[in-house]
Amino acid sequence: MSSTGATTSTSRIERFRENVSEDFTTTTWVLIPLGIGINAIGGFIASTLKLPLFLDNIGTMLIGILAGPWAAALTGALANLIQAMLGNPVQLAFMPVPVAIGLVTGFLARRGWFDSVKKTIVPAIVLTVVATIIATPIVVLVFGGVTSSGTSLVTATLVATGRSLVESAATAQFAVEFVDKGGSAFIAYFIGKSVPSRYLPPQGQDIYS
Amino acid sequence: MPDSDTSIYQPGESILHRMNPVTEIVLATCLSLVVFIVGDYRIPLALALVLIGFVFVARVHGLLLKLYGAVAVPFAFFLLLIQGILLRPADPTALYTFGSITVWESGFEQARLIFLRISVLILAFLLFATTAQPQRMRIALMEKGVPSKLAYVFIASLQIIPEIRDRAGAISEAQQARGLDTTADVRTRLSSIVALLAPLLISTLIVANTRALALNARGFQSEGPRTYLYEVSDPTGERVLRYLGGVAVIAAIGWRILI
Repeated sequence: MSSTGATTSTSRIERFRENVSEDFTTTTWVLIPLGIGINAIGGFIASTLKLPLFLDNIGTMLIGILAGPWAAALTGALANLIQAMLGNPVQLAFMPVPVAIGLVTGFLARRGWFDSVKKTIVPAIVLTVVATIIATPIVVLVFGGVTSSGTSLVTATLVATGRSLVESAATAQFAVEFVDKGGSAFIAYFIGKSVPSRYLPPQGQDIYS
Repeated sequence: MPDSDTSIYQPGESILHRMNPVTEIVLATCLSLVVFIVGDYRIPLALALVLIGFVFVARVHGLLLKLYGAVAVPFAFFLLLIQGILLRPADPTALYTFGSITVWESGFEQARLIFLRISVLILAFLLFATTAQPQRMRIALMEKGVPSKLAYVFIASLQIIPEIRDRAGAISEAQQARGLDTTADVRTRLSSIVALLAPLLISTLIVANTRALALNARGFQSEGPRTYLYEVSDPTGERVLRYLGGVAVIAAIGWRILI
């Protein structure tokens, strides 16, 4: 009994490893830097259009839709490291957030939640919740409740009304993530959709066909 | 090929520039972990001062202190506001009182600790980013067993960002010439995001296909040892330094548990 159990668990690990390595074709490896580039450009687009958003995870989400969860998680982690190399090391503490965003987007895309605009509401909500749950403890424990100026202002206002730090930081984080990550999910959906399918990698073609 | 225009690397000849980039990553990570584990503010204060000393040794102070200030000044302001003034502490001892504003002593101490910790993190990683040349870093990482594909992705990302930024600038101008209004109402501007990003994604996907073909033709998927253009030395002293970094983290954990 135990030996069969061991074999199934090894074969499960092998199958998992195969699944992961199947995601990483040469096209995927080339897409990852492009996803990181699109992440870096989000802020530029937001400031061109004078929108109060970060939009710094659109590339990660796009890789999740086009190439799967593992490639997207790697994109998120590397994008975070690259940001540190470009002069913003504070972001390093938030690395679990983009990794989770990549994984969640990739798995939801495979389950068909990016098939239509209506369905995209689900990833938008799930991503908001996941980002809030992961980011809040980091904000509170590592940064004492302080993040970017806009979010900090909301947190400060809530603290001033007598709420606890955790509650204030979580509320501020949720409000910001809802607009930013939720919005980004729709943006990623529409951008992916507007690309002619012959340019898309296999998973992307499946999703948008 | 210019590789210094994307990262904030500053060319130089200092002891930090000659150090193996892997040692710098390990030390920056260990220092950041130590200051977050230890609860005494004097340790991050001492480390921050030492790091500032190294900033001047490496002669990267112009750029580095500007970047540090841009993050640290607003951070300090909000930290003092939230932790020191607004949050009512369990022990309401006032440090200063200006009219109706009171700075609480325990809140101020908490803010001081967090600020110094973040300062060490920022200074350590900025020192690393300004003194580690990206190509040397790639080789050093690959020699330590990082897969070549991961190293490629890292360097390609650093190089591709200005390329994509130029392309995004061109697309933004082209779409504005076609009537994209950057001062319209929020709804229109939100839908304009797609008009800006979709052409960018299409053009980068085409580039990706071409790059994938070029990389495959150059043996990107092949296994086996590689030869490098540069040599990155890894003297014993630096190896010892890396181990000491690890020991410092363990010691900090031990100290935290015992005290």
